[in-house]
Amino acid sequence: MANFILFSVIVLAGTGGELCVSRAMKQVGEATSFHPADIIRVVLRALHQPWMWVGVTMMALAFFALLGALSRFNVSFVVPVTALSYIAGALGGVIFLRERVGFWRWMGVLLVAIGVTLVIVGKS
Amino acid sequence: MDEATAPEESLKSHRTLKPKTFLMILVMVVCGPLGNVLLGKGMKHVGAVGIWPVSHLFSSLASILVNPSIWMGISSLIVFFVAYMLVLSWADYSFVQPVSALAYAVVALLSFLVLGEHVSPLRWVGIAIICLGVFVVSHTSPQTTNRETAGRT
Repeated sequence: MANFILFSVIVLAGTGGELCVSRAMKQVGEATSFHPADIIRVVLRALHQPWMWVGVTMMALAFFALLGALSRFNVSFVVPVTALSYIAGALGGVIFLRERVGFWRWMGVLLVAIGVTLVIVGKS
Repeated sequence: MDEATAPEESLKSHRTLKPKTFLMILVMVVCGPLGNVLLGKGMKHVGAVGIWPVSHLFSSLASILVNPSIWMGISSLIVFFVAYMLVLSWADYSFVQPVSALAYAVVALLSFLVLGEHVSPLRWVGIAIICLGVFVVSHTSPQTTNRETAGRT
């Protein structure tokens, strides 16, 4: 049970955090140039978005949960976490960010999830 | 600009991957793993961080703060995060997340070419499938939501 909670926290907080950062950046709007002053303006504007802070907090939570999980289990734990994150990310994009994910993007996401799984399995 | 064509133009420009988005994704997939490796290397050098008694915590903090690998790692991760924010201001999360998986290919290529490490066949197969997936995703429209510009106005 504790494992399941840890597992869910890593997937949900990790992906959820990135989704919140993404939502903040959609509110900030498009960065218009690579001029340092423009980049600083975009970053400062992002720091004023509540979603940015929710996102960073969730990402930090997921990071520490992952460290905790890695100290208790071996690396094989990371495989389902990472693979599921890609599916959860695309779902979150549709539900939370109202992005349109069509057939081909889903196919690409599935391929990436499979590829990442093989890479992690092949490393250990 | 003609009012009638303006919205269509801006919509059209989001259907293809722009060079600036591509460039920042490259920065992300190089700086992200590089930062993690440098930070990991630095922390390995520092060793286990003691938190009690407080003098141990301070000596650990001191050795963290004087470690060049840790500073380079943190800088690299900051560059990664700024690039990530810029990319997300231009493209969908459901576009950026799978495309960022190219980082796995970068890590394998660097460890093979620079460190001369052995990369297992299974890992190469995984990387080929990731590249195929990224290729498929990169042919979808990078931005499907409407947003303002954070420009000089």
